[in-house]
Amino acid sequence: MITESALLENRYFDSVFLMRVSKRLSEQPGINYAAMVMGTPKNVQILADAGYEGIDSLGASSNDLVVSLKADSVDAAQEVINSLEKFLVRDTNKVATETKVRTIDQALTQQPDSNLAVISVPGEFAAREARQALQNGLNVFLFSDHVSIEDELALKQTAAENGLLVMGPDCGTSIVGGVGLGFANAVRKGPIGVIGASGTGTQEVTALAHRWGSGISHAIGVGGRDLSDDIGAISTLQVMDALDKDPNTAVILLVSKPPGSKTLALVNERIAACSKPVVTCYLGSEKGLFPDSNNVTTTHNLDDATTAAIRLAGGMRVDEGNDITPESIQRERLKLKDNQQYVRGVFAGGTLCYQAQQVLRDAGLSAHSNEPLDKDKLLADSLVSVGHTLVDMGADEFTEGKPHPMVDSTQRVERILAEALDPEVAVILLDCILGYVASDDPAGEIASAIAQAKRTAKQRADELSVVVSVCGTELDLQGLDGQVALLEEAGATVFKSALQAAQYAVQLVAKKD
Amino acid sequence: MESKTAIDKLLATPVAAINLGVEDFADNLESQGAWVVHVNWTPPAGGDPEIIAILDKIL
Repeated sequence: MITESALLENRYFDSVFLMRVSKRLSEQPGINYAAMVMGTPKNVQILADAGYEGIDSLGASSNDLVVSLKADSVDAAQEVINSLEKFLVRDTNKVATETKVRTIDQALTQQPDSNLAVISVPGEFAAREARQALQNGLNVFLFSDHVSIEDELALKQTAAENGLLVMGPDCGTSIVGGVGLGFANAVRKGPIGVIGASGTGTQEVTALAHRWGSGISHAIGVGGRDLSDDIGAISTLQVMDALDKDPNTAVILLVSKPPGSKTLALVNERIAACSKPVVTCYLGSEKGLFPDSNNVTTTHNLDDATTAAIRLAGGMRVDEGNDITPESIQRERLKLKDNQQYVRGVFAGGTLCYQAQQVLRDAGLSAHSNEPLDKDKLLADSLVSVGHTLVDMGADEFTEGKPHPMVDSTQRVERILAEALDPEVAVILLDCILGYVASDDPAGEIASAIAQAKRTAKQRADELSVVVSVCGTELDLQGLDGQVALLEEAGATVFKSALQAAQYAVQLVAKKD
Repeated sequence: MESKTAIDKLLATPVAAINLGVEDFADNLESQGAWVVHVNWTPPAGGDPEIIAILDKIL
């Protein structure tokens, strides 16, 4: 295999567009891997570390597009490099291609009533753009990651002083008045206001609320560090104030990892003064650690949190039901051999991975992870599973210079196939996340790998269970029923709740640990 | 009566966004009926952090 690289000077493209083009390039004849990144020092280093030889001698700058191909031959690589322009053409029907606007000031001239800046520029430039947005009186949805905690604190303090909000950084999901920002699911409007310090946690509770008959007034992401003592819940408290006043919100649902101890006191104090009922879900905490207190209903997982919110808003959860019975679980268990002991989770959603670890821990099973609940369960190598392992494939080590698994399942497919080679694996546990900006066909991307994994096990006379949770609604563009059908046809047992999927996986391996 | 902050107004009025970065986000907002202006963003000063710092001081 050879490596060929090219540099296109002064050609800036956003990261999601480049991920899509990279994928198309890698599908061309004779191309094994394709990397397309803007030539920031960090990106160049990541590619050099990944074995793309000669990349650091190109002399790229942050405005230059770097293309590097691992190919069967120089000819195959050159053919793609010579036709790069055709891959870089955008859909001319889309709004973004029509713009000549180059600054926030110019955008405000064009749209003076703007109330929000959506910022997804590379992390090293994100705080600067967010500052400029705040100076112009705009609230900020900060999707960019790799923003320092010092910058986050300064931005949030500036925002709070001016009655503005910073959602993020690393904010994957918000829904403002029915409009999804970032990776959000399409849900109906309703009485539940969500404050989310986790992207896929917010997606899961909003999708569940919709499918269980309720709806969402707003779901506001605050960034994963907002409830740490370093930040002190600045955005969370602002959103709680706003939702308390919002006439469309009847109940407030807060989803987060456990807050810092000082911050917990602040949050509880604010909740006690809230005129509306509040449900908290601090994922990863020991059960019972956060008791109900004044005006707080404490829950331990995303399903219970959603159920409580629906009830407190005066509604009733509509049960979806499924075909799982004690008998069907027993039948599935009997197919597993005695040496098939382990659950291997391969997740796109970090919070869903985290919740699954909690399910295993509550069942007395010890799970390793690259993003562990307990530090002593940290995987020595994220690429190598040990015992029960639940991997967050959206973590930095998998996404630096590569597509996030919610956009492209290539790395997840490789991991699923690798796990199937281990005869001690009983269950492969997956998630499949629908919604805006996510892959057009996330189920289709993993379905053939699921079928292949089961065939691999069968070749050594094993039965491998594959359990998938789908996060989405029938309003999502991918089509909920069609996505579920694809997974079931591939041989997976499918749930529309990540909690239920993890609980089912645990039941399959119970007493086999 | 309590004064409304920009956050209250954000929750009470239709989203009118300025998008910097991923173009898909602008398309996505427009497809949902939100107002959006996409900024054709590129790294300032060619991405050179020293020049950016100087620009930030003088502007």
